[in-house]
Amino acid sequence: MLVFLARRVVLGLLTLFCVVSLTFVMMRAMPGGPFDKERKLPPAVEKNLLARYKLDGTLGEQYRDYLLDVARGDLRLSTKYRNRSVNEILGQTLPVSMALGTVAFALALAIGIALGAVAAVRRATWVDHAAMAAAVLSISIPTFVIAPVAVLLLALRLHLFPVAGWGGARHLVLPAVCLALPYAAYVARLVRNSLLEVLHQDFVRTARAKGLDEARVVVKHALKVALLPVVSFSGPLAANLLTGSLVVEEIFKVPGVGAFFVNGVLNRDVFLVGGAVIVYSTLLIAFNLAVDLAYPLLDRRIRRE
Amino acid sequence: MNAPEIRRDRLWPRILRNRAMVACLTGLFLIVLASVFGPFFTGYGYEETSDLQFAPPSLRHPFGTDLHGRDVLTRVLYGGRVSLAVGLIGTLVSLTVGVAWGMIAGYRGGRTDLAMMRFVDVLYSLPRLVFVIVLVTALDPLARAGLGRLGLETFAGGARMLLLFVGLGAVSWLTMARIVRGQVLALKEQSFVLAARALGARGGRILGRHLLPNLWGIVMVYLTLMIPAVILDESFLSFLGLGIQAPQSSWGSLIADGAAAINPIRIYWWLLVFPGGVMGATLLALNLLGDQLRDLLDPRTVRGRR
Repeated sequence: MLVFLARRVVLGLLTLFCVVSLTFVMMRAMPGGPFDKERKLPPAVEKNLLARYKLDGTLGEQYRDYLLDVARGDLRLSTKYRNRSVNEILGQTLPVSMALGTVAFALALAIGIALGAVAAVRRATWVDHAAMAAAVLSISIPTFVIAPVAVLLLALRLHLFPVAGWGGARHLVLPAVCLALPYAAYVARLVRNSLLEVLHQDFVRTARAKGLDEARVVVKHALKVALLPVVSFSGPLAANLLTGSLVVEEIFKVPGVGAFFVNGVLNRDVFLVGGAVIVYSTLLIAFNLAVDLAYPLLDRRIRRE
Repeated sequence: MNAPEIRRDRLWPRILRNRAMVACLTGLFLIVLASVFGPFFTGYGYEETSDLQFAPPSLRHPFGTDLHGRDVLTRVLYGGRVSLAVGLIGTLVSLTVGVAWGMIAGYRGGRTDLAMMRFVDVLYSLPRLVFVIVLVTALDPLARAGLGRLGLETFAGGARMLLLFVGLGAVSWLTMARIVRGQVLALKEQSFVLAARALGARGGRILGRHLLPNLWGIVMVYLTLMIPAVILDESFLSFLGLGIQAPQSSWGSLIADGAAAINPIRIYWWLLVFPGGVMGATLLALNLLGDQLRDLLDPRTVRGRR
């Protein structure tokens, strides 16, 4: 167990190292620097700037120094938002994205599992067809169509929710639902398929033969096993949702981390992009590890090598 | 000695008997046809502006007009060309890379496999759209310079499309590589591969003649599911202003324009509903097709349904 954990942590750190290196190399290989403006800077000023942001010296030196700083937990200064460190920017925006993401995560799982289970139990009836049609539909229509339409109908016409912005729980509803919808659809399809398979297995027949009512058979016996694929999907899902959505945050003007991802690349803000990518990758690796650790606890048939 | 092939001869009759699949195929065919030939018959150019701003749908402009008085129908059809091309070519790029990568990793096994799949893991840990954005911005001047050297400066918009093909292809092949590798790992232990090897077939021949035909089914399924995913990704990039640039259009950029025109006073619903509807219909048809194809080709799901 401990050996397994240690090996996975080392592997994760190694992956993270590769991710950081790749991001740094790509960002530095991009044409155009962070201080390129319409008007050329005087050489002395540019030299000072480069020195302040630790972008002087050879690429090899820059890379080595950056890795050392990252290892110390210092993500450096943003080259665009002068005088603000990447740690500070992420510290302010990440909690917003995470709050939104947590709600969306819970919604995606709740809606997806409920819909998928009902569809599987009522297989080949109109309930099943309607649920699966809704699922394919919400995978096929991009969020940035659903979101403006929701704003149009629910916010501008019916005044149920604020149009955009960030503040109370009411601000959270529309963006969280829009963010969760495609993932909920994916979870629903996953649950339906896996539950259909499980419902044919012997232990379910045994449970039925014992005389348990159908609801208990499904919820207590079948669903427990059928949710395993959802558990493994929830790792990447959580990482994706918690680090904010570029599109949903843009539409609802949520002050999350999403915009910094895109603008960072466009502004050649090496360290901001680097920091954001590090956060994303760390979360992804950590959640995947958590899923792998939880798996044998949930399914006793699996033994770790 | 040849590998036992999937019985292709029986697939088409099964597809044609399935009403949902026929409906999807017909719908897709019509959308492709309209996108390819439609722009010639609408009577407007996709960049042709007029004084008629934000006109609601009428007989002259069935889908209305936009901010610059351009005919939205023409732009939706023209955008279909771009979106479909990006989806198709991006998918083909990722298909080629993914299948080759997965086959070699799975077949060679050992250290090669380990190294190749670790590489996939690293790329998996990058946020995918950010990776595309970095790729597209990094390669942009290169592509432009390349086109300039060839004397093709007029195709500056084409450079952006080329980048999207490469960028989206570069992030979409990972899943395909994993799936193909898994299949190859299982297949290569089977007796027909052993027999082929015993008869003196080399690695390349085994991969091409014996393993590839057996991957056909699963690859087809993921192909139909990957095209809508790539189209969706392109639309996200266009929405963020990083995809197709005006005056060219793609479904994503049109929807982005429509979303930007939303305001509390006047609602220009046609700018959002028509491009969104056509794109949604296309993705719906492709997704349904992929699902049905999986049910037809994957014996496990067939058994689960009985």
